[in-house]
Amino acid sequence: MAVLEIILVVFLVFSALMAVRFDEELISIIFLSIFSLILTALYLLHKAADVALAEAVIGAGLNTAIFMSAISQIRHGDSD
Amino acid sequence: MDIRILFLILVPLGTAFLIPFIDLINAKLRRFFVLLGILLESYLIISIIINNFQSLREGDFFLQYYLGGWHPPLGITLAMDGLSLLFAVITAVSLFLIVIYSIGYIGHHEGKYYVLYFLITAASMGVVLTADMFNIYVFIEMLTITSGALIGFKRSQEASAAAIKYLIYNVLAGLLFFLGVLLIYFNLGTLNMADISQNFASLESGIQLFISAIFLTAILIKMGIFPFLFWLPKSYDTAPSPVTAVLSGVLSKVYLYIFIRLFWTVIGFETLVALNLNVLLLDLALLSSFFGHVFALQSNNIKRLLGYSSIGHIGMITAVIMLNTDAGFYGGLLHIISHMFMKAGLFVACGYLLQYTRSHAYRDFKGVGLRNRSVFIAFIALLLSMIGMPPLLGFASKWYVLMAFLEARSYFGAFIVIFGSLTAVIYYLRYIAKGFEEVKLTEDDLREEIYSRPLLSVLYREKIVSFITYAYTAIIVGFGLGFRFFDLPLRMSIESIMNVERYIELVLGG
Amino acid sequence: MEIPTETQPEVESLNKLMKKTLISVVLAGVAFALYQNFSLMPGYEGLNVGLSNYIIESGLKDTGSLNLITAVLYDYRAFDSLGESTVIFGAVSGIVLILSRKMLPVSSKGLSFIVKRTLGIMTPFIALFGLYVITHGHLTPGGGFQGGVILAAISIIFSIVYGSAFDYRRYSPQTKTALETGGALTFLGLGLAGIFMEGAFLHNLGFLTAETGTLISAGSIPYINIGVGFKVGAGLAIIFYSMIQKTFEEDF
Repeated sequence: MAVLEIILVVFLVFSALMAVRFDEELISIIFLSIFSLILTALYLLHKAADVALAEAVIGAGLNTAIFMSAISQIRHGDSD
Repeated sequence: MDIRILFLILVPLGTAFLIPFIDLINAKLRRFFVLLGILLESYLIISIIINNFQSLREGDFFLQYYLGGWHPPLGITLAMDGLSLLFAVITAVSLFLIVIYSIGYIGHHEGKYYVLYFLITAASMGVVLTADMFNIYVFIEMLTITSGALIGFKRSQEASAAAIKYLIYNVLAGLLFFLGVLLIYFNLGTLNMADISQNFASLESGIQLFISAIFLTAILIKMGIFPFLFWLPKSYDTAPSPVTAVLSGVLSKVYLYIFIRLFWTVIGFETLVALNLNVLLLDLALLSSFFGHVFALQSNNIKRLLGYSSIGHIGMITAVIMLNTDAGFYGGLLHIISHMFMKAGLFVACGYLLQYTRSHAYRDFKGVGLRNRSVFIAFIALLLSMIGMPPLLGFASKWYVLMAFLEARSYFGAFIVIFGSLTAVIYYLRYIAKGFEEVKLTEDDLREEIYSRPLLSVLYREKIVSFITYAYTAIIVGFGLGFRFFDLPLRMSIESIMNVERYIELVLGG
Repeated sequence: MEIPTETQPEVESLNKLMKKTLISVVLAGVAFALYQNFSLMPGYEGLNVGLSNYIIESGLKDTGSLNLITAVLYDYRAFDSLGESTVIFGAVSGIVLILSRKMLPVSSKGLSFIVKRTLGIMTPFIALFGLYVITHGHLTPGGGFQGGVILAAISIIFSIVYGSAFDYRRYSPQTKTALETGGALTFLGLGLAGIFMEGAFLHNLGFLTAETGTLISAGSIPYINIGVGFKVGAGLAIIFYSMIQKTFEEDF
């Protein structure tokens, strides 16, 4: 259990750093989504199922969709 | 258990929920409901004051309501003591005047505007009334989101940029506040303010310092004190005038309320003294006041200038409150009231005057006074009150602030008060002089001008807008002559700030 | 104000570096302070947990909800949940207010036939799962907020896969607004019912309680969950929709 948690935390920090590191928005968003998924797993490990469900649905699902639509707006807006 | 203090929050909330529904049925009914909501709110406040007048006199005024029937510290408690009542009344009066002004002023997207406006009303009432830390955070978040949206109301590029800047700063402050609430819950296992206040001193001093510092940073960002003031002028400038009046007249005062509640009732001033934060904060606030007035001197945009002057005044109020004396609170609270009416009145008057100009810049202010004489005279009266001319309300409050600084031998503070008045003379007189300058309009200008004021040329709109401006001026002049009227409420509020044990006892025991 | 063009990129990159160092220093400071604070805190056993202990012991008895988190969210601290859902309500109003302008429609034709067919089969199951999460909030993990987001995902999938015009025909903005305010008013109405029936705002309605563990147990909690679910779902769908489409021009 402890080993799994350490691995997950390492990946969590890694994905957070990668999300900040890249200038390309799309990659950042994908890493944010991965971040949310790892966080969901961590919440589940700590038996917080409600929070895990919320994080999975909002962080990994909805946020990604809204960020994507924002990006597509920016790219369309360039030609305006 | 007085159910009216619950309905002070629920009435605007219900109105906000109902407005989109009414819009789907018939948009013409909207204004009727808006007026109904705000009148019901005023009725509740007035009935609370009248029914409890005797206990207000005697100084043992206290009302509370247990939400969901759960007694503290388990559930959420609403509590109203002298300080809450004072802030609830002045907030309600301001919001009442500004909503009537908005009926005249706002011309597009009225449905969404009133929804957000009533959410602001509900949230500021909630902040003032609640006795629960997490509940305060929820209402702060509500205030941030709704006011941020209203700053972007004009939907221009500038307005959106200002709204995003405002949101970034304020959401960050909200998150810091949340972190503080979280740490308090971790360490003490409770969220009720009275309960926290009882146990806060038992924490280790390192944790105390960290929690106080986090709350302090959050509140300083929200109030716009020196190191974090850069979001303020831009958002004041681009928001529509009634929204700016709300921002400066209501929101900054609500944050001041949170500041007082947090650092006197919950954390306790002794803790701040023990952590050596009080001197630092006093100097920071005075510095902020100084910078506000200096920035105002070089500003070439009337609304931005008023924003910078707001920073100056809020800094001054914070500083005088930080003295922690009776005189300091007396001056500070009186100046909160007078600044609330003066600034809101000024922005309201600006909204009328700037309808006729191309931009908010200094050069476009030329000749404004000649075209709308009566409103401009009201505007000048409000400006003179800001400077601190004797028969007006601004003089009375500034006098008490000055006296408080002198009594506490804080000569730098006294210097800042005088300095603020002197610089205000310079930067306001410039605008008054410009307003009376003769301007020659070419034919193009005239044509452009006719097209540029579609809204206020409707007769009833102009009547409403100018009427509210006069109402603010009347308040300033009337209460300036009779400022002793505030004596009872101010003493009551100071009593409830200073007597923390009584608050704890009433909330937990009542 | 003539800046030589050769040095400009250098200055810019220097600025960027400065900013990055500043941000890193601030973040490191905050992290250090947090670490200090957490190391000062008493261990897990020594935490002051009076309130949580009480809820763990008598939450089921008090509220009838098996899921204690839902019990806290919709009974002990239901007023906070009302506030949180109002925050979403305000955010929806604000976003519609700011973004309602002419924009280029995105993916108006939708994706390929295969994707459309697959999604057509899957959508009812997604909806079922969303409704399950909402209505079983007091029995299993989940509740109004989470289930509402799952329902909003359907609308999002419709606009991405079938094109936003399809979504508009299926669930017009007016329907969504009606659903949203309906959900909010349900919450408020249940709270007011608490005043008349039980004597306190948002008091759990005792007469609705059935045997613990059944679907209609826990008094008014499932109904509040349904209200919040529809409110959040419709609100988030409106947010997504107003970000991609151009039909919100009139003020409704």
